[in-house]
Amino acid sequence: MPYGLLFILGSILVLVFKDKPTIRKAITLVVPAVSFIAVVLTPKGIDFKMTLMSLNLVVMHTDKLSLFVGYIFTFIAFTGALYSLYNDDYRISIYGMLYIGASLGVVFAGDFITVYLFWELMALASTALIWCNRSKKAYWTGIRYIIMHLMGGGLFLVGMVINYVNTGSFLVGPVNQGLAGAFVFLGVGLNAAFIGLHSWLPESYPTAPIWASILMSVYTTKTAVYMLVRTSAGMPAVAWMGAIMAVVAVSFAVMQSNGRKLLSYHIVSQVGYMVAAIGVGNEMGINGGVLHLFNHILYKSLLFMSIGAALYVTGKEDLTELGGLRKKMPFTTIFVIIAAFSISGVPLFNGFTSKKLIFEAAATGGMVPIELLLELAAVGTFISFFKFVWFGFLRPNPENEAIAKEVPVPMRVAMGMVAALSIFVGLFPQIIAKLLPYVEEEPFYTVKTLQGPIQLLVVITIAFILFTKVFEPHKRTIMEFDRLYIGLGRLIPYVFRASQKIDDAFNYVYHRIIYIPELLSTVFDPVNNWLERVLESSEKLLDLAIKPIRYMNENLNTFLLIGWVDFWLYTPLSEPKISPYNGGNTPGLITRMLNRILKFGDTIGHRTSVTAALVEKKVVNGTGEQLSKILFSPDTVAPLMEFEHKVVDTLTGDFAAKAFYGNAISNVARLFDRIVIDGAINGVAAIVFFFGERARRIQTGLVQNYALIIIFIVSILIFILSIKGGYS
Amino acid sequence: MEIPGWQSVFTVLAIIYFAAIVTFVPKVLTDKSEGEHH
Repeated sequence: MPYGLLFILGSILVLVFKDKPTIRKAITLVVPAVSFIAVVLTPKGIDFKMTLMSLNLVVMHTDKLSLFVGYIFTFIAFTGALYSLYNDDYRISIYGMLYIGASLGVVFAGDFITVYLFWELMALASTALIWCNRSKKAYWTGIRYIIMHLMGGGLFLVGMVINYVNTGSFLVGPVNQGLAGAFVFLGVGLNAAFIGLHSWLPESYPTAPIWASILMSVYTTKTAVYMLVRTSAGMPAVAWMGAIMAVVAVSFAVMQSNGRKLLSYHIVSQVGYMVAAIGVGNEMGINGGVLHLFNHILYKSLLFMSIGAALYVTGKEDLTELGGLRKKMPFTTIFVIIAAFSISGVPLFNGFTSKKLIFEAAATGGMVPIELLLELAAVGTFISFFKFVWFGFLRPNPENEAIAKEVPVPMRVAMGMVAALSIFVGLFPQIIAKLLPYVEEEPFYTVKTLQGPIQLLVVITIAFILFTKVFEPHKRTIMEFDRLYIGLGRLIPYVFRASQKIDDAFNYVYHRIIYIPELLSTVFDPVNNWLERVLESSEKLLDLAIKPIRYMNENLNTFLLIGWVDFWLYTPLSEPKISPYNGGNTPGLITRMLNRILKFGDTIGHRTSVTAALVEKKVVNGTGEQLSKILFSPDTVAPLMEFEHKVVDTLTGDFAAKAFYGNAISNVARLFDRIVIDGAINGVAAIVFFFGERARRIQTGLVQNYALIIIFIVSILIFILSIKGGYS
Repeated sequence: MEIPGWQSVFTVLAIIYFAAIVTFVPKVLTDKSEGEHH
């Protein structure tokens, strides 16, 4: 964590000196350099403990794994800053340093509370980086990005808390069992761009300014990979997800024409290799995954720097428009070839070393299908980078030849440093292997290990030369998984309606059979008799209807889950029970949220009481006559009401069953909006600069959205704890 | 995998897979409504 704080301090200094470019740029170089040296000098085995609100925190923990990731994180922070010396937007430096600081904070954290805080800071800082591009597209991309990441952070938090309930500890360690494991898998998986949760990545990285995408390509996914090593190593689901990521993402990559988008898909694909290796989970797998993380940071940032150089000089980043850079930009061309060879796993370049470990780990771990999927992805990677280098840099293009010139020295030096380290790792893997978490003694270069990659190189080179036209880039947008979500979203109104119908039917039965007969039986006997007859004649029907209710009662968890889902799906957003706090016409999100919870209380209460009565009195197989007699006797109603109160109070009572609490929460949210955000905007100059114009946008409701997400997560927690018996 | 020559066969099959992807998938998945969903 101290290294993280160093960067956060650096970002404040950049803010202070934002109008003095020389000092500002010096800070962006000095901070990473100092922290790199500091990390290299740090011994393993440090545990820096703190107690906060009676929680024992380990805010800094060093071992081989965290130090290894720390080396590459701080090294690339330095080269990234060197590359970005010509960046004139101080905001990118501020948010970039915050972002790097947050990632380092996660890496060196020893407890989940610290991890969570830095995890969320990382999400916020990277969103700000996207917004440094001031286009409308970047704005919406950032909104989608932050929503995804807050959800991911929330899922991760739920996993942490369940793990805490189970183990009594917040220390970072394996969380790979049961519900906690599933939530951590999803929460961390979102940041690692698991397929299905990944569409934020290829959308946002090409949208951010190039200086920012170089950083973003490094930290978010790799911090998640690091966290997976800590929490989920050895889970078969993780291994399969990794293999699927590698293949699906590379299949999307070969179809792209935008340079940065192609590279972004390759992040997902290469992270897939790491995830697969971690899922295999043997010592070689962990070593391979971690070494691949190290290597991938090198070649991927070099690739982003190269396309950034092309963009810097020509203003273009689409492969259909690039090319013609070989003669005028020889350094950049050499660097991009080194990076392409590295990512493709060509021997003597760094990617080879980690891929070799990963393939062997999968084979020795008895996961041959995973190995085959990764081999398939390797072929795609080769093809994709033949395409990237040929169409982006080598092929003739007179238009670009006329305008191209080599990029400034600092950019070249930065690329040169990264390229040199890539080759160094490729040539002397044994030296780097000594730093890995486990001992790695097997030689990297043998006839057997070289056979595969060389065959691959030869066959694909021939194929690419013969069929260049097939792989020629075309400018187009390939639809992504988010379209699926949008499609599903459009279905929601129909689900609402269907659910409403079911609910109406339920209410009809409820009121007719339980309430109305009670009234009528004392006042209107004829009608009551008629109803009795109806009940008798529909005896079989009732039997049928009661069976599932009994089943639900026996499986109360499932029943509650259904209630929960139903509550989310059907509760209308309008018709607020609580008057909107803003005194206006539209209820705020908090108000709507509370309405949902209140409505949930009603729904669950009604249904529980019916079920309880039916089962308590063992009438599930009885006739309609018995049913009505038992249900309406005072003996039944009293315990029924008690049961209802218990359930409703447990689930919602303490939380928000009363409007008073609802108003209190909205008031707090409103005060937070007003005091923190308005206060920041009107009063505290530093924070104004910090969040700038974005804060004004946040003020329009994002804080409430955030509160909504937190409440959503807390309610999931209460729900889970209540069915697990941890809340009573 | 120890079957001799399997890798070359596998590579050729894999190349065919990716060639098929770049040829056919965009016909289905190309987004013609760019920008509409923003």
